[in-house]
Amino acid sequence: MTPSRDQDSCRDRLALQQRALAESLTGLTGNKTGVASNANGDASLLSGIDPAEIARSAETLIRKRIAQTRSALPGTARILGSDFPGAFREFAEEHFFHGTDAIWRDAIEFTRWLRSRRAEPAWLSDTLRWEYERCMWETHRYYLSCFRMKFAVPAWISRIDQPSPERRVQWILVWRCDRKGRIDIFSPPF
Amino acid sequence: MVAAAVADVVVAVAVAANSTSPGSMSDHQGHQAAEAYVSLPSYGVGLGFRPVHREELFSHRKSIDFLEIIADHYFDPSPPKQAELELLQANFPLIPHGLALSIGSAEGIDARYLSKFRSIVEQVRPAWCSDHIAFTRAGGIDIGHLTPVPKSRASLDVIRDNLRRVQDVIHVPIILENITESIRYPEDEFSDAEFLGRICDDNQVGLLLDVTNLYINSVNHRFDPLEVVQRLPRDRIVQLHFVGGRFEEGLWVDSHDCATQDEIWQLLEAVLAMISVKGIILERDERIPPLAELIPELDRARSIFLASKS
Repeated sequence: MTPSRDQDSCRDRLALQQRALAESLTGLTGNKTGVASNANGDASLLSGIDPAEIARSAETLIRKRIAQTRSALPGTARILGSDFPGAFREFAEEHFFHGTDAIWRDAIEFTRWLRSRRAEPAWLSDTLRWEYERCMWETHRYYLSCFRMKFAVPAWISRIDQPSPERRVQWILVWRCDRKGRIDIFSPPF
Repeated sequence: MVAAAVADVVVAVAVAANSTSPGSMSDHQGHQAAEAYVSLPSYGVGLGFRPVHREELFSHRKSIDFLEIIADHYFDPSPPKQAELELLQANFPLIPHGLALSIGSAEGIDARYLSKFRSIVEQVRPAWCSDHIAFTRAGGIDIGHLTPVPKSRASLDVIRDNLRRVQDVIHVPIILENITESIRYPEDEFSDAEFLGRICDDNQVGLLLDVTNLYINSVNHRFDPLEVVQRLPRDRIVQLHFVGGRFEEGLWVDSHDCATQDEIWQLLEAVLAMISVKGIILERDERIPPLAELIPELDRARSIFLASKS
């Protein structure tokens, strides 16, 4: 059975409406995604939907991003404490959630963003680097990185009773090949 | 072994239905579909697996009949995730639960996601698998959140076509979950029960009835949840979800972050007095306590489940 022209036009309208809704919920617009959007600017696609419902859904979405990023970056979350949600909301104004691996991408981009804005405490930079590398390792089939840290951040993250990391210079090797290579190393400090 | 044999029969029925021409299912196919879901193995009461509980699972083995795993968490798994999946598979019946098949997307199914979902299903070989009646992707934007679709004919057409595409490659029964209706559309042509019923009528698909979502929708949008259940094709309801929700700013939200409230327990009990299901999953996602604190909820659900069977 071939879809009728009516069915096609209903489906096209639904696709445009879904796109308009996706843009509203994520804060994206066509020009920000770099994809031409017929939905962009057509207010009639969302007319009849309660704007309060859209706003509530958008708020749920940003809270979910905050919770997921906090889980992906436990050390950063510990340092920022109650500032974490505010910092993430500021970040999210220009960084939109979309695409596959969006949760990891949020975490990776957020560590980059924070590195250019905050310097305190002294071990923040090492924590951001460590957690950035860990996310990169999680999301890439092939990955190799080597860097130096001034603080023993990995041990500190795993010990909730330790208020600050021990000052200790160490080199970290992050190495991952895909499963066929049978080599997967997220090295301990050496 | 018996369960595996039954599952094989079900797969055969599902594959046979896929080879038919497009359009709604005939009465005969509908009857076959209903029989297929009735003959699925009965698992009992289980838990939505979260990695934080990995170590504790084995000390509470007797309280957990099966596990629901988030399929997306095992896409392109790192070696530790792959090892985790193999450990779970060796010790529990597993049901993969997808988050982003986006069965309601008018732009169709994402081939990459579907391929990854299929890999998990092929590895786990479950009795059934599940996702949601929702869209999570539109115009190349991944919303990262389950968004409701209008309850309209256009949505039914989209869901039917997308399900066909999914069932062409996934050869185990698929069940779809009702979500919270965070957005209501002026295009809605059907009630909740009519829409869910039509999805079942048009497709070879079962239902995962989230009792908490049903409760939340019924309070927020003022309808009788049991009337909805009464009007659903009850032989297609394969599995239930339950968990606590939260009342915020005048509305219930599916926060998945607290113990199940009395109102939801009452609804679960009433639903199980009306239908027979194959499994019930406690789906805790946030503020996850030690597993020992969830065991009483599993035990309570099991006693309701067993009472409903007797």
